[in-house]
This record gives sequence, structure tokens and C-alpha cells, in this order.
Amino acid sequence: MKPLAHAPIQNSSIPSRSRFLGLRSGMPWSIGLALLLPGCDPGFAPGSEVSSLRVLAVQVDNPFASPGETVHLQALSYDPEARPITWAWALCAEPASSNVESCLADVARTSAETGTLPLLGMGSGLDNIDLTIAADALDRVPDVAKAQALVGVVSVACPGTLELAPGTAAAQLPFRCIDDQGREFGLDEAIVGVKRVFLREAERNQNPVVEQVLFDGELWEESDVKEVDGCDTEEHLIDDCASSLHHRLQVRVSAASFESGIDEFGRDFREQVIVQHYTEQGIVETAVRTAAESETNWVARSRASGSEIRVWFVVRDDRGGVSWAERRVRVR
Amino acid sequence: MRHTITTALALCGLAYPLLARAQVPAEPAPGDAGALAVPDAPAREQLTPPRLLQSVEPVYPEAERQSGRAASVGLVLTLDADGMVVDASVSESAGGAFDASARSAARQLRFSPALRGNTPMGSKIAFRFDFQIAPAAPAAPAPVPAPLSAPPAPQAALVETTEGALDVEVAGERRAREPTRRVLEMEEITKIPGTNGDALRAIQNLPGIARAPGLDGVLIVRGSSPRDSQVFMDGTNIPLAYHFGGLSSVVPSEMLDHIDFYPGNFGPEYGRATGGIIDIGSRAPKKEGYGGLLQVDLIDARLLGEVALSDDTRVLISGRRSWLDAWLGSALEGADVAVSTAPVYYDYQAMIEHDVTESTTLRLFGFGSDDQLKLLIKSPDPSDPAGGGDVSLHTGFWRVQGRADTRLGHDARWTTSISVGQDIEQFNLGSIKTDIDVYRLDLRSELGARLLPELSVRGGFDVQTGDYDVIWRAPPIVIDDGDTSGPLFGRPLTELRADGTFLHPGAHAQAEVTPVAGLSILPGVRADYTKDAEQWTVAPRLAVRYDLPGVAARTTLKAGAGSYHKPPEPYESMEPFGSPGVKNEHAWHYSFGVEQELMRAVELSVEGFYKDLDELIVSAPAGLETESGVSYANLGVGRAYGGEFLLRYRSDGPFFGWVAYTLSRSELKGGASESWELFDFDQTHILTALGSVKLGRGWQVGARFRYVSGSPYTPYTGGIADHDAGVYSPLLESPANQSRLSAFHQLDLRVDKTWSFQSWKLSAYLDVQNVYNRQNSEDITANYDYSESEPLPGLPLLPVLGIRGEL
Repeated sequence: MKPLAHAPIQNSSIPSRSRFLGLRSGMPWSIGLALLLPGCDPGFAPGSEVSSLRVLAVQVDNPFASPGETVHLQALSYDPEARPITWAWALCAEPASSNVESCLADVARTSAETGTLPLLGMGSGLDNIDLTIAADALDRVPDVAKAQALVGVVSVACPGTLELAPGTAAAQLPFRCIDDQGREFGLDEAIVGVKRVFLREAERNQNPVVEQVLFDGELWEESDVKEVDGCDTEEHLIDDCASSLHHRLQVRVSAASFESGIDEFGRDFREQVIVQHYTEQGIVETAVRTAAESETNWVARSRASGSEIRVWFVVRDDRGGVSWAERRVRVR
Repeated sequence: MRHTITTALALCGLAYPLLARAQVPAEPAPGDAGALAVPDAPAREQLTPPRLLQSVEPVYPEAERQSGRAASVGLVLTLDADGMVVDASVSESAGGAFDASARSAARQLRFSPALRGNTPMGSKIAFRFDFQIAPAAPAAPAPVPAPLSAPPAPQAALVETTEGALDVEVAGERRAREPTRRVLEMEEITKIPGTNGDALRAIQNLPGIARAPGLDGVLIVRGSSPRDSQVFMDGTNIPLAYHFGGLSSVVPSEMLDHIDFYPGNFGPEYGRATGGIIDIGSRAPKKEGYGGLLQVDLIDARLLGEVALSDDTRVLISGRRSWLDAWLGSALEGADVAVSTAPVYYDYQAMIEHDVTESTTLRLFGFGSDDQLKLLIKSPDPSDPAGGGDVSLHTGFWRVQGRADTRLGHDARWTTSISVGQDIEQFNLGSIKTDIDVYRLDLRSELGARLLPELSVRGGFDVQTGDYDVIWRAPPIVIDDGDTSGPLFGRPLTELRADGTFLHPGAHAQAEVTPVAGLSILPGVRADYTKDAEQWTVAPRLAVRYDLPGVAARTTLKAGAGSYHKPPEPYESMEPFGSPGVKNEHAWHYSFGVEQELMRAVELSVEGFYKDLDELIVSAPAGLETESGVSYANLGVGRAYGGEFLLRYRSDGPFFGWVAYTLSRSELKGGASESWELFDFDQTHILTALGSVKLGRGWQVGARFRYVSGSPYTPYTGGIADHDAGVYSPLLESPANQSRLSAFHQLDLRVDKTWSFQSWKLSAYLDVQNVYNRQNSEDITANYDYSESEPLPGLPLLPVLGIRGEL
């Protein structure tokens, strides 16, 4: 895995040619069939099991921000090794597109061109930050493109010493994360992420609200630590564990979280709301569910016996809204 | 399936088929292979006529040279069960010298034998040789050049029935005008192992066409992007080649007469393509009696009926429906998917043909295809939650095509066709939506004539026009080769709407000059106007074929060079999707090769090709500068080169087969200052060996082996967390495509058994793909943060069983 500062960022301003596309190629059906054939899992450890430093979500208190408004960003992270985490937050004010790479490229380009980083903040344990949207942020956006208007925030979570490396090539990340021996962490060890803040004149999008968490069909309060037996397996399929060890997990999201209507641009919308399940030392049957039918099965691993492990429920809508809930389980 | 969604969306949604793809080639009449007239045979087994395998040009008699007159000799040829000419009698004399020359030439003709069912048999056929003196007094008397548009000698005719023989019409295969034109016959199409008898999958076994991964139906011709090639049905462009993107062709094989495949250097009758051309020729209804067919396999069921209503009118109706929904629906329910409309496809064809006069035939042909599904996916894709929730897909098209084909005397032919139709593409994935509706009109007219013995010409025009209505709601996606757009969930949506009219007129002309015996020089030119690009293009093309004189077995040298243009895809040039001012893409095709007849029915062809691509349209993020967030420009260049080898045993009744090998390389770059990168489907070595043999008693067995270099891919270097989607977005190595998947190889087998009854026959087949269960790599898949990756295996051993009843 390449270290952060050596990870190549595609210069997305470089044009490239479509090499394959077209209805003739049957691509609509390729996607359709791909959705229907989720098998062929080669056996990778699933992302739902948190076995190393992870940033599971970044919430903006107001996902749709107006020019001049200050919003607050808060990260949900977890490191099984409980190392001190150093955070850096940087602004990409004018990404060329809404994909994450464009945001990284914007930060890298600014860094290379000016020799300084558009840094919002940096420090140990700094897992939240404020961002003030420029007052003229929407003025320079043509009317036809206002629905695309956004700024991005790049976050870096480093479990070692985080250094800035401004002024390097525009195709490289201007960060370096180093351990005690001087080894540079890779992208699988230090977490680089991008969070978008949508720019709107007046419209708002509320973060989804987690009303209840259920454990085997019963209300599971935040203070309630459940006790379970673990499954003696190192595999990743829940079917390898006896069904008696399975537990049903479910999140109930407020009805108001499923927003719909007409947006600021006169377009109708209906939010897609999903639930992502994460766990320490356990197996989730279905990591991602629609919020309307969020129930899934989960088992703990027996190697966690005697310890307390966490389970997270991250609820997202498809317009930048996110919330989460955390619960704890003791493995007998 | 990391990033399948992004890519597919980018590709599908923007890829409305429409506006402009259609063009009609100049020679809509299939007319290449034998047409069958079936008398009331004692048993109603299918009768297959002899087919001309080797033509011979008769020598103009010295004794008639002074007169210089043109002549025509009608013959009745008696063929034995091997297709050899055992007798040639004159049915229409032109004088002793001409008769003798014609009979002498006739004895050198070679045919595939007539078949009753699967049994070779003797037959009698009508045949005609035309004589005209060659100009410019070549040293040796020159044979008559074939007219450009009219079928060359031999001409079609009916003969009296003699006991035990088969009455047939034979239309000679038209003389090749292109450096490379590969023809697949029905028997080959339906019996190639590993294809389930599917027409377009059969094409993929020929040189010059790369292997598409898995069930994907893309057509990759000589290193070109699939969008650079065109598929036609009787001269009318069709937007979809396959149901469900690759499951089976949208036209069942039973409707086909033949498929012509032009990997490059095609004639000026084809335009608006810089890759290759596939032209599917439908078969005509039976001219006598009636027929029918019912076939059922694991995928679909099809029904076909045809009848001659009178001596000059016949009809054919066919339909097919998949029954995937019968079993896939329940399987999906078990996989946590609520099914509103289970995956289902239909296609349908109806044709009526009427001989207005002896020289004019009218035909009305309607055909179409429809695929759809509607699901609620409760477990969204872990790599991009956009792949969940409500999902619906609907693609389809229909065409009604009318065609008039008139022979204007012996040396000229006029063909006109008009087609109306609709293309539909509707795709919903959560909040993402595309809705494309296109009504289109295609018109074409072409006249071909032999002006002089050594000069034939043909030319015509074609127009494609129509109205489109497009709605697109999705994140701005830069459609690039690296698919670096990342997950779609949580990204702001662009909603674009457009409606309007497209217009693409074109004209073409070509001459065929035969200055000396065996040499054909074909200069041509094509002119097109692209309204959305506001651009005229003129494309000169030249093909040369030379049959070496004085050799017993035919040896043909061939070469071609030509200019080709392809209009921008609608989303590239039309506002608000694309960038106004984007022009046609361009390519130069060069090829040179030799065809060598080795023995009866066995031929070797070797070709080298070079394709020089420029003005390629490339895309880049445009931020807020454009409504779509993407801009396009003609900055790209490319090149493809290689060699093709084909050793082919043409179907002669008991056996057909070939060995095809392609060595090639294709590269692209996004601009003059960029570095060359391999095309996504660049496959250095493509080897296909196949054969099928009739064993008697209704048994037929075949095998196919393929070896193909692995496709290039770009390794992941890691992932960046997308905190709106809650998943990772991959970073890729640069430059792209520096690694390759492992080589693909696979053995397929097919066994057919036919039981013949008095008035019908029953067939069953077992087609087994990947007999030794090779774990071929079709792609690369990665873990959640792209820190690990490994090959994605392709299809395992896959047996398919089918049965078929046929009147």
C-alpha cells in the first residue's frame, strides 16, 4: 500500500476518452445483472468488521449550508489499538467535480501552486472542525450549475505523527503520516476522506434521526450492554455459526428522515435512506440495508470472549445527511 | 463489483442509442447465399440447396472474338452427393463456342451438396454464364466482370424436376468488394459450440474481433471501442445487439440467412463508423409450402411460422420470450430482493414478401426487442449504496422496414428502403434516472449498374433523422477509461432535459474497374453531414483485389485504404449534455492480405491491418463551467495494428470448422502530450479453433477451444473514504492499463441429435461451456478499502440443454 504522500491522484483535469460505452454494449443490463449477482465474493474481510483505524462517518450539522454560514463537522472514528489520532482538515473550495478525487486534486493543486495548504485545522484528537462558507460562494456559480454547488473538506486521521508536505507535485497528497520508527503509513492505516457540504440559498436537509435500536426485537438503550455468546470461527460468513448465536439488529429511523418534495431548483426528490452496520470482532450478515427494512443478523466472535465490543449503526440519506448510534455488547 | 455501478451508469445513462446511429448500408438485399425453393418433396424434411463454393470465370471464345458480342448461356448442372458437377447440359444456347466454354467452366465449379435433412444428395440446378469481351485487348481473353450491384453470374433460375433430384435456385455469392468480408452461414451460426446457437456470439469466433468478458455483449473490432462499430439488421441500424447486455442476440438465429462481418476497410455504403460493421441478413419466407419451428431451452422459448400464400406472396412470423422470470424471480426473492417485474425479454419479427413483377420484389419487415425488470433491492451494494432500493430497467426498440428491390434489365439494380422505429431506454436506480425516447426514420436508396464490361458503378444516399426526448438525472460523470468517478451515493444530481431533432444525411459512390482479368479496383467516396456537429465530412476509400492468373487454386491479393468518420455521441455534442463544437472522430484504415484456396472448401487468409485514429473525443470535468459538469473536445489519438489469420473449412455438409488467430495491439492517448495507454480490451493473442462434424443418424458433435491474452487493467493503489457514501473510492495506478489479467482459455463442446419423422423433426442439443472448468479471470475485485485485490473468476462449467421441433 502506497504511503499517503505517494498515492497518485488522477489529475482529473486531464481529459480521457470513453473507451467503452453505449447502449450497444449492453451496459444498462450489465449493471442490472451485477446488482442481481452479488455472489462471487472472493473472501475478503468485510468492511463491516472494524479491525483497524476507521473513520466511519463525518457529520455536518447542516448538510445544506448557505453562503456565510458556519457549519460544524464531527467525525465518528475508532481505533482498536486506541492510539492517539492526529487530525488534519483542509478545504477544497472549487473541486472540478463532485467525486472525491476532484476534491483531493483541488487541495493538492492549491498546495503545489501556493506552497501552503488550505488548512482548516490540525491537531491531536481534533475529530471535529468548524467551516465557514464564503459569503460569495454561490455568486460565482452559474444558475444552471447551482444544483451542483458544493465545497469539500478533506480529513486525514493519522495514528502517528502527521506532517504537512505542501508544495509537492499536484498529483500527490500533501500529507505524510509517520510512525515512531519513521515508517510512512499507507492509505489503509491512515485514513484520508472527503466530506461534501452542499451549497444552497435557503434549502435545508436534516440529518436522519435514529429513534430506536432493537436487539432481537427488543429496545436497546444506549446504556444497555447486552451479553452474548461468541462464535468460534475466523471466517466471514454468518452461516458458519449456529443460528442460536445469531442476533437480530434493527434501527428505527424517524419518519421525517425520509425527506421528499420539491427542492430549491424545482426538482422533485425522494431521499434514499440506508443503514450501514459496523462491529468489532463480529460478523454482520448484511452490512448495508435500506432504512425501511434495516434488520440484519449479527454474531460476535468467541475470540472476543470476556471483552466488551462495539456495534455501530450509521444512517445516511443520499443528500449528505448522516447520523449514528453506538451500542456495546459483552461476549461471554 | 467495485465500481460496476459507476461505470455502468456512466455508460448506460449517457449512452442513449439514438440520434444518429442508424445508417443503412448500400446493399440491403442479403442476396449472398443460396435461396431455396422447396417443391413438394415426398417427405417434408428440410431441403438445403447446394451452395457455390468455388466460382470460375469462363473464357471468352477466340472464335467469337472478332464479333465481340455479348452472350449468355443457360446450363443445367447435375451435382453428385459431394457437390461435384457430374454433368452440364445447355438449356439456353448462345452458339457452339460459347456453349463449349460455358460447359468447360461449369465442370470446374464446386458446390456444397444439397441436403435432405442432414443427408447429402444429388441435385440439379440452373446456372448461367454471361460473356462479354474484355476491353483494352488483354493478352488472354478476359472473363466477364461481375456487375457491382446485380448478382454476378451464375444467375438464378428454375429447372424442371427430374426424379430423385432437387429443384433449387442458386444465387451466386457476390464477388467480394472489400479487402476483408467474412460471412457466417446459418449452419455455422447455429452449431458453433459455446454459443448456444446465438448469432452474434458466433461472430466473436472470427479473426479481428476480441473476446468480450463473461456475458458482456460488447463488440470489439480491431482494437476499436464498441461504440465505434455498428450492427445492422437488413441494412437498418439497431441500437441493441443483445438482450440483457449479452445474454442472447435480439434476433434469433432462426430468422437469419447469414451475417457479414467487416473488420475494417468497408465500402462507402457504410458510414458513421470507424470500427467494424456487422450486417445481419434476415432470411426470406419459404416460397412454397409452409414451415414452423418451436424451440425451448433454459433461457427462452421461440416460435416461428411461415407460409407461401400464393406463388408471389409469402409471410413469416416469429417471436421469442425468455422464461428467466419463471425461476430467477424466486431466486431473487431468496436473495433479499423484492421482484415487481422479473427479468424478461421479448423479441418479435414479422415479414411479408411480394413479387410485384419478375424483376421487382417488395418486402415489409417489422421487428423489435424489449427487455425489462423492476426490483426493490433491500440490501444495497456495500461498495456503493446507490446500487439499492428501487431499480428498474427497460430497454427496447422496434423497426418497420419497407424495401423495394428492382432489377433494371440485366445490368442494373435499384434498391430503396425506408424504416421507421423507436428506441427506448429507461433506467431508474434510486434517485438516479435516465429516460430516453427516440422516434426515428431511416431512408436509403441505391442504384448499381454495369456501364461497360470493365466498369460498374453504384451510388446512392441515405438519411437518418428523428426526434429525441431525453431526461437524465445523475451526478456529473466523466466517462473515462479509468472509472475514477467513485461511488454515486450522496453526490449532487444533475437533471438535464433535452428534446429536438437530429439529421444525418449521407451519400456514397463507388466504381469497380477491371482493367485486366482478375483485377478489381474499387475507388469510392462517401460524404456525410452531421447536424449536431455542423460538419461535412468526405471520406475517400479504395479497395483492390487481384486474382492471380494461371494458378489452379485461387490466389487473391487484396489491399485497402480509406478514411472513416464517426459522429459524436449525442451526449458529447448536444446541449445541455455535451459540448457544442465537438466534431466527428476520424480514422484511416489500411490493410493488405492474401487469400489462398488450398483445396476444395479449404481456404487460408492472412491480413495485416493498421488503423490510425485521430480527433477522438475526450472528456474532462468542467466544474461549474457547463450544465452537465463535463466538457468534451477532439483531442485524443489512437492506433491499432496487427495481423489476422484464418484457415477455414467451409461448410460442405458433413463438416465445418476453422482456426482463427489475431495478433494485435491497440493504444490510445488523451492528447498529443499524453503517453500511450493500452485500450481496455487490447488482447495481444486471440486464438480460436473450432469444428463440427455430422456423424450420421442425426448426430452432430463439435468443439471449440479459445486462448486469449488477458485484458489490461489498472491496479488499485488504495482508497479514499467518501464520507457521504460511507464507502471508499479507489485510487488507481498511473498510467492506466499497465497490468494484465491472466490468459483466458476454455474448451466448449456441443452435441446435437436430430430425429426425423414423416412431417417434422425433433432436435435436442447439449452445449457445454468451459468443459474443464477453467477459473478464467474476467476482472479485478477489491476489498472495502482497495488495499487488497484479486481476480474475479468468470463463468464456471455451464451446460445448456435445448430441444427443438421443426416442420
